[in-house]
Amino acid sequence: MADTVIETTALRRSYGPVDAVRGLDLHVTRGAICGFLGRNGAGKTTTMKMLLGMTRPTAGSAHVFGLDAADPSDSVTIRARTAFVGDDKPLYETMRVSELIRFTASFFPGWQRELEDTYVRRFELPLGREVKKLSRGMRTKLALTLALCRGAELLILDEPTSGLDPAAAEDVLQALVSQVARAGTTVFFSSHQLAEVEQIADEIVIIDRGRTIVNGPLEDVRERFRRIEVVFANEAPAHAFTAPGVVRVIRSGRVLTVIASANHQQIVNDARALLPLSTDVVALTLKDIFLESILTEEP
Amino acid sequence: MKSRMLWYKAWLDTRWRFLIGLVVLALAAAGCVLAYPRVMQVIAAVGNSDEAVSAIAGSSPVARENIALTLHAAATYRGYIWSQLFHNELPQLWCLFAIVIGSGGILSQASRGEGLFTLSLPISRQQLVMSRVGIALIELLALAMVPALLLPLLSPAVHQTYSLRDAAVHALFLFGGGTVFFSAAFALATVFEQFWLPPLIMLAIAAVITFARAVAPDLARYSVAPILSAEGYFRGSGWPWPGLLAMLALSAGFLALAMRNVTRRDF
Repeated sequence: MADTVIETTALRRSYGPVDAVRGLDLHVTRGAICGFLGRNGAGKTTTMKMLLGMTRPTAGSAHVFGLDAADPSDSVTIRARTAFVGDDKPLYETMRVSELIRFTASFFPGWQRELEDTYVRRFELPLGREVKKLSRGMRTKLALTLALCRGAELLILDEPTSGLDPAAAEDVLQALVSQVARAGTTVFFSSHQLAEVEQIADEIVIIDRGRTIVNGPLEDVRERFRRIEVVFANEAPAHAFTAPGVVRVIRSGRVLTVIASANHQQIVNDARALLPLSTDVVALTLKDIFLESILTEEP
Repeated sequence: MKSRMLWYKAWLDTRWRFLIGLVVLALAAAGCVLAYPRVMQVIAAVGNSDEAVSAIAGSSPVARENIALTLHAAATYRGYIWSQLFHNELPQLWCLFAIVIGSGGILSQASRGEGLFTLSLPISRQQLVMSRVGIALIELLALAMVPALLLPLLSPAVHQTYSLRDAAVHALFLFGGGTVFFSAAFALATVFEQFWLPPLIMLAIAAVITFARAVAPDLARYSVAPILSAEGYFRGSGWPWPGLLAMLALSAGFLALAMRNVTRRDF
């Protein structure tokens, strides 16, 4: 528990008859960079808002630093130790960049002035320009500067690189990685850019339709998921693999493909009993794991 | 420091509405003073008879009442200022700007996105509402006091004097009684995301009240107008304390409702 920064249990949020989040269980370890993956409308933004006390859960619980996110007083403490960057990079449009930096700094006693100078230079932020006149890339960099310099223990970032060109996205990712390396900050970020997640995350959470599908260290998840391709001389047999861990079985011509999240060896042994020509075990990319996970959840 | 910056943000959010209101109300006050000699000439030319009132107002009882009131009150400079400014222009304009200043806020900002930035700061929703209300009340007090205090300053320009006490009393009653318009708009702004919906609703309510008064003049006794204009004080018939207290209580009720809405709301 001491090493867990975010923990939700059976977290649910309904809007009338629609369940945005339904029974979400997840935990994020202190100091981790955790990629939060899911399709559009999977419940990622709603979950983030519940963690920050902006939206209250309909049922279940969300704890950040062991504090109840649904409690108004606790949520103020959570926000004092957390930085949030929303998907649209919401900022005060009429303020100048320097004014917004000073404004934000006033709420955080641990504001890091030297870091601010570093990022203002590195991101080439135009201090005298009004926020509404910034490009999308500059807005993102400003939002990230405001998040990184406050000395937060946790960064919650909703699509931090969306709409950025590859160079700007790389800048943002490097800033995140160096923040974690320097301060041990926990990063919980959603993204549709799976290559980015694979590049920097050491934990992942995959949700679909408001429920957790996968949650754990990225390396463990990669180790767990395998594609077992079994090639036969003739039409592949319709075999029911009963071993625990079989995610999906695809039969196509002479090839039988088994997606497995555990018990690879037992499944391989089962396949070999069918006397195939060859049996190959292939590691899955994060993209494959993501797609297989959510496809498995299709009704 | 935190709360100071919240107040600063509330000021940034409302400053143009306030400054425009300040200019408009100050111009109304100055215009009223500077027009005094010309108005006196017109009144002298028209005369102060029932025939003259009928010729101007036609058969409308409300218009007749207003013109007769103006003509009678304008017998003195104090009465002229009261009938033109504190009984007419100032409450109408002040209440309009009170409604406009009360509109907007966190719900409207959240619908545009920037409210999420505010909500991600380590502040409670109570602090957020209180900073907005605090700045608005200071602005509204200034909107009442500045035009009123211009009267003693400008009156010598038309060879008249106006009491500082009268100016302060009228301004304070305008502020105290009229705050309910701000509070009602503020409460509506915690229900509707669209910025212009609360002012439109408030203007619709005002139109209905005006229509009802025209149809049934007896309803005027329940009007907030005598409180805003401190009519009892002007006529020497007593201070409108009960009405003022009722308005303040109603205003507090609206603000409590707004606070409840914001603290319970999901964003």
